[in-house]
Amino acid sequence: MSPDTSGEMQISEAQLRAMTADMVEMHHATFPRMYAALTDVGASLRRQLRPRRVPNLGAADPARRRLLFTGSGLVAGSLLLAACGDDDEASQPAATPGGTGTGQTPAASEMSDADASMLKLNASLENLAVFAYGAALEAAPKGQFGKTFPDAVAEFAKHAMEQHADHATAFNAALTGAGQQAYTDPDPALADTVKSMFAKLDSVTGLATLALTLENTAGATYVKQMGELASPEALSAVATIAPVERQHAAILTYVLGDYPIPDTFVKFGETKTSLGARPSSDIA
Amino acid sequence: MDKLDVGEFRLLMEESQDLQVDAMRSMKQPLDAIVDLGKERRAKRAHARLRRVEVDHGRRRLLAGIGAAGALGVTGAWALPMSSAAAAEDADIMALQTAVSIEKLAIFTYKTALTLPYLQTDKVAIKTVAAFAKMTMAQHTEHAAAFNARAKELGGAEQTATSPKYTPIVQEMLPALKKGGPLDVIALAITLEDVATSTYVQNIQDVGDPQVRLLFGTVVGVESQHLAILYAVQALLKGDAPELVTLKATGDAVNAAKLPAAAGSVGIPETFKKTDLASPPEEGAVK
Repeated sequence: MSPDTSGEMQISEAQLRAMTADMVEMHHATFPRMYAALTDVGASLRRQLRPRRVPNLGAADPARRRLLFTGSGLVAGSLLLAACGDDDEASQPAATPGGTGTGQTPAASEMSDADASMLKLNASLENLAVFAYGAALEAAPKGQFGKTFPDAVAEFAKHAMEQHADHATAFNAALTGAGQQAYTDPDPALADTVKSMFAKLDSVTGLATLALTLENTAGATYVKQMGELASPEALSAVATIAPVERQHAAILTYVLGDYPIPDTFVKFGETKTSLGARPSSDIA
Repeated sequence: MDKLDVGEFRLLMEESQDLQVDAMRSMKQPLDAIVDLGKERRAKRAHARLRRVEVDHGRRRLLAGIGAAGALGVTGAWALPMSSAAAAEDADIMALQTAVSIEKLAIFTYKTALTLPYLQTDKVAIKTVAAFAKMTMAQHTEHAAAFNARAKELGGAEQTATSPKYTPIVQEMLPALKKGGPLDVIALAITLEDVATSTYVQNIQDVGDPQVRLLFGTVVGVESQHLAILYAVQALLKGDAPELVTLKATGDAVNAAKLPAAAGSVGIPETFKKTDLASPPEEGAVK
């Protein structure tokens, strides 16, 4: 990566850093709260509905959270390898949806199948975003997007990737809290297309447009689900995560030079920068 | 605001109007569906049973709000005994009315801001901030209309007033705002947008009607973007980099290479949207 060293930057990095010094603190404040809420609600529901059932101890275990994070990293890593490999390698699915990353435990019945499917879809979209940003951060120093890669874009990619990883963990926490298995693969209906598009990118503008498409697609998917989901933990997840994906989209649109908030209401259909709300059948 | 009505801004607004028409058109079908669905559901006894289950499992916050309002004697008929289903529906109406009151205060604030002398200059950053205020005001107007339409469909009254909690605070700030500068306007706008975003995020988790949840969702996805851009612009202005507050429509596309690294994250400080600032449903309900 070649940081911009033109010397034209008139803003003090220290000033901005100072103004956003509480950002990490805010993140660490919101993530445990969200994670605990999701796992606690799931556990609470299980107790109400099946009082004699053995609780899912793993769901609230910090070690499990670390494992889920590691899972997201593995997803990003495996897809990155596929994206950067030769054609033969890239043509192979980087992950196998329906394999290790999916499935329902025999005892899991508290959450409706529809809700569980939507949460798995959401986790898969987050995994896809983690891949895309991770791949971008890996490819930028190699010059795929030009001689220089703007510092702000690199910072955004890193920040967004971390937030998406946490979102994936949260969606999976809602799943495991209800006795379901986590979903650690990227959306199989989109993964190959995104990989193919990513491989052809040769500019920051192209990269930002692809990222914007993924953000808008995730946002539309989660908002549409707000009228469909029934379980409290699932609703909490999409309610608190969808606004953040939309914020990612606004910043990307600004970087692209366009008016950052073009829509008065979130659109569910396809647009120039959205694949539209994705159906659960993506992961069927 | 004459200085904003230059060619490129007109183009922006025309494009924006088109986008808004598209957005409203795209909302019309869901809103029509909301009307039909609401009529159908309320006509069925099963609906009442479903609502009671929802109340049992997830409505404590809203019903507590009704109880508090009733205890204070401010809700009139709501203080009378009512079924859980009716209470739940009234709670949804109150949440919608409170949302309208927040939207109307935002409209008032942006409208007032656009009259301030320091938002009338030809500087690109000021033109961009003013364009944002104008666009955002129009979007909040549409949001208020959508919330009021749904409240009326559910049998509630139209809310025409601004937020009773925050209006006195905004009015108290106006003299300082007139003497201040763009950063003062942005700071106030951040607070109001955060209140709106937080309230709707909480409402999505609390209201019983799926179509009301959906409406809050389609709006919160926009309010949260207002918030992100305000954070980013605030940081750039505080960092004395007004030349980076620019768009194709008001000057030129921002040069991403000149943006400081922190600009990539300053607009998105929360990984999960917190709801500490959420207004309770009864706060702005029609009395």
